[in-house]
Amino acid sequence: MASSSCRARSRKSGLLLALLAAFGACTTPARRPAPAFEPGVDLPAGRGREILMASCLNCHELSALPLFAAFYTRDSWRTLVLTMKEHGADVDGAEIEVLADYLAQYFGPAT
Amino acid sequence: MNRSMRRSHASVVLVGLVLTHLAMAEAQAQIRLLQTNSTDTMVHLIDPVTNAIVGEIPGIPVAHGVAAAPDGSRIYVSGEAETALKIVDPHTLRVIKTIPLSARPNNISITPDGKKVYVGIIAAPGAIDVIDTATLEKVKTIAVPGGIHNLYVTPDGKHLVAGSPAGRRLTVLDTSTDTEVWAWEGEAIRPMTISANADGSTDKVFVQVAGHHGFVVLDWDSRKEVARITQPDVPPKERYDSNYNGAPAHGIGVAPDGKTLWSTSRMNSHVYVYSLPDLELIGGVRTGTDPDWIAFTPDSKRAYVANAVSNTVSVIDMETLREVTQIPVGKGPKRNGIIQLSSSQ
Repeated sequence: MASSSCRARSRKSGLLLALLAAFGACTTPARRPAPAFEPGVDLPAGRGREILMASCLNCHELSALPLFAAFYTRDSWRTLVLTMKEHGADVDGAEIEVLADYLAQYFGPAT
Repeated sequence: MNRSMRRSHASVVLVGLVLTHLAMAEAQAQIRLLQTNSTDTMVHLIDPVTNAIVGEIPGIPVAHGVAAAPDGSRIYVSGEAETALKIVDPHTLRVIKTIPLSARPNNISITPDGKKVYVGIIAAPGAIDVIDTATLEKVKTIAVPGGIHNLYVTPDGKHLVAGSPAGRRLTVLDTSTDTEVWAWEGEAIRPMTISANADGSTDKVFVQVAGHHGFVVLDWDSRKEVARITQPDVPPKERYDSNYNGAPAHGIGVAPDGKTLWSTSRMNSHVYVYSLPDLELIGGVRTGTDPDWIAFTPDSKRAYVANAVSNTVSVIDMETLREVTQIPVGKGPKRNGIIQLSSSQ
């Protein structure tokens, strides 16, 4: 089934993000303390991780992130981050690029 | 009539009743609930007679919108991860074509004649892709202000109502020209549903907006807000503790018989039922956690509410307003819909 092959392709240790599913929009831009990850979730360390936790977990549980890995390029991730900024995500210009790099590195087709 | 004739007549009646019953059961058996799973890779098909999963469409990671061809010949699913519209054969439950979209999609809607599928493009700056179902090609991308989260073809097929959270705008298009005819601005638009007049024309649009635990009522003819309904409270300790992704109410529908309006509450883990057209609160039904989308059987006997956090679908008896059961499905169930399979299927 595609679900297992997709997961196998991504080979990410359990991760997060449904960043998109409801990606409709969060309209509460204020940052809150990042919630703890679900048991078993292991997000690679880095500045991108910090931004993701601070800016995305306010609205999205991140369990579907690996599902995008087979399809999303850096441009795709950057566009997604920009869309989220329009929806109220608290990310500034430099953070957008860091986050796009991070997502592409760990959740891009080449990974 | 002698005894033999009476017996023969009774047999004919009995056979007729059995055949009628079988035909009704068959007709009912041809209805399926289509349930997406937004943080998973499959779409489930549920039989509303048994409330069991009877089919699975694999290979659609992060499915968002789902719609069925009016003749039951196809299922359409928008895939967020793949940025594509997947065309599915309802016999084999396999994807028969993948149509690339202009950018990341959200919800979809099909015209009553089945000729066009509209796809809301949520990625900035926002658009609506138009799919010709005869050629199975994307034939147009309509620029609109703000990413489109949900869109709906009106029951008469004449208009498309598209909502943008980021653009804080509801845009109405004429489906014969795919051009804008009017807009309502100022609110971040979430799910909507539409009621029709007796002649089939559009009456009201019921709009869930960000930050409001309820819905706004827009009058179609005047294009103005005529009411704002706030759903009931529950004690704080009974609430689901979340920011509800900015939308404490995120799922709304008019029953097929047009007599009731159903609106979910993420905050209260309930679905609330209002009479139409007077919008009197009839009651509420407790669901699983984070109830989102809602679909109805065509006979208006059962409602199906997707519980995005419980990973279940609540089955609700629409007459008694009681939850019949919860069906475990995939991860993050959200949008759902009904397909009425044709008799040859």
